Amino acid sequence: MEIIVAMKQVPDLQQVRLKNKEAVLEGVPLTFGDIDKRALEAAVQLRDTHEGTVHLLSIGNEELEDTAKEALAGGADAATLLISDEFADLDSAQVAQYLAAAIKDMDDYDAVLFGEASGDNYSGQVASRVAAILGYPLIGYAQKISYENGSVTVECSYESKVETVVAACPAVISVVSDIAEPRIPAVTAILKAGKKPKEIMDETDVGIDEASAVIETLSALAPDDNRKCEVVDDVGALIGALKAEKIL
Amino acid sequence: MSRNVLIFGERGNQIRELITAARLVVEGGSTVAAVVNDSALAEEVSASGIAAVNITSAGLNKADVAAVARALQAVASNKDAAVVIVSADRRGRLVGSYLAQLMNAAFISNTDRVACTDDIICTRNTLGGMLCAEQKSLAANQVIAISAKVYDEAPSSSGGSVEELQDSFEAGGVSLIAESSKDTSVADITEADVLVVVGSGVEKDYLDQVQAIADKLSGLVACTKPVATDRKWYSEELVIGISGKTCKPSLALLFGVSGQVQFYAGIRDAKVIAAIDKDQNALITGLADYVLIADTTDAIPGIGAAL
Repeated sequence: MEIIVAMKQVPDLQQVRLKNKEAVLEGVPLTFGDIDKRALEAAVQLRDTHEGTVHLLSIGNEELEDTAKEALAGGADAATLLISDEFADLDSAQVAQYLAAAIKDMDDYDAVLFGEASGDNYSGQVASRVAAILGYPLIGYAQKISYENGSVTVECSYESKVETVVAACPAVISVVSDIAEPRIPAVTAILKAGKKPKEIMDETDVGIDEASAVIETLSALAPDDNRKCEVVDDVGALIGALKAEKIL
Repeated sequence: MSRNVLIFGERGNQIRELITAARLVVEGGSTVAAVVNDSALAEEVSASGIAAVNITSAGLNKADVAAVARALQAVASNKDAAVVIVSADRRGRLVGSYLAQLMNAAFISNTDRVACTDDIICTRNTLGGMLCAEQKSLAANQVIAISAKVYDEAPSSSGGSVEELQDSFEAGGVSLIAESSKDTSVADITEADVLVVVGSGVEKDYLDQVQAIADKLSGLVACTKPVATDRKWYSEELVIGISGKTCKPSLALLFGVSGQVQFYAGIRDAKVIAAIDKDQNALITGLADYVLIADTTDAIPGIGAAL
């Protein structure tokens, strides 16, 4: 089974600090989001069952080559990386255009996997947009994927129900966290990651001169969280405080 | 600036919330709700005084996102609606984002507030919930996914209507072969006035006592994402946070919750937050009203006995 896994480079949120209500991103390392790592693991498990390859696809700035090593150590066999200074601050519609253009140029594959949403923006739209651009079946919120005879059978997890659907490949599939637990790469896998094949492309290589943004962010500030932050000594003091608030 | 707005949702209460949101931006235009193969739902939502379109296409199933999006695109075109409002649940986000691509539109997801100037300004969490962003569409068309419980349900009103749209739409190649309900006993934590929240700092042996505390407070138990997805102690329906539910209880009593921003974004609007954690340097100590530095193995029985 030939699988592309699209992963988004996001800041390590544990290391982001606030200054004057704005996020300080300078010096914050970039990583792949947790759900994307689970999509990768799901792809690796499918590949191990059905044979084939797992191909990482990602877009970002020059740090992406380093970030990609995480995924290559985590089981991806090769990577296509769209790298340009112009790719550092794209909106989701722009990202989808570039990824779809790159996918069109890639060899035959059976599925393109995405995490259900990125760890930073969490808008969950790139998979849908890529499917719409490519005209491929879109399956969302997969918790289990089976592959047989050129088609996928997928259990999709919605809020109140699970739907089982089938589609012919190639299909675009977004996955939920439940689908797989990301592996911790062995030292040997980390050492081999740098030697796996990588193709680096820029906007000219993917054949798109300019993708227009469709969203403008007018402001992005930390909300006011005016909490009391009062440390109480024991359970009795806590209960007393809540009673004083007339909550209990 | 007058706008026609198309609404898409799957349940009556959900659509009525979206109608309230639509009325904030429509400014003299019309509001239309579209439903798929569900005449009863079309009748129900038209009772809020709007036009409802029941798309009755043979072979159109809700699991085929592309086909549903194409049907909605046809309705939006027919009604001259450049604004589409969908629910920010999983189906809504999936259909809405696909529709946005078909319409060359912006898709603004998980919107917690809409306001109208010359543009529609949407407020939503970004950077894992750390920031609150105001965003607007640069495209002529826009699809906005509104989070649940942000707006009250629109009341009943006269003047509604129902029409049938019988047409065929290009299939997206996805067939539904089975569906099953999830555990219906899982309560809706967004409705709870008191939430008792289990984090990774709680040991499994204490979950019954946590439930007993929630029962005494007439509240519900909720949890952080790792507790549901990694430990699998609770359903994903009970997860609070940017990838779970946004809740606004009067009291959130947190046990063993470190206070990661992805979690806090879902409980930020609680009236009072009380946190119990053994780590005095945990992020939650700066995000709660009352903080008890204690091991949950001591605090859970202690609070259970004190209530």
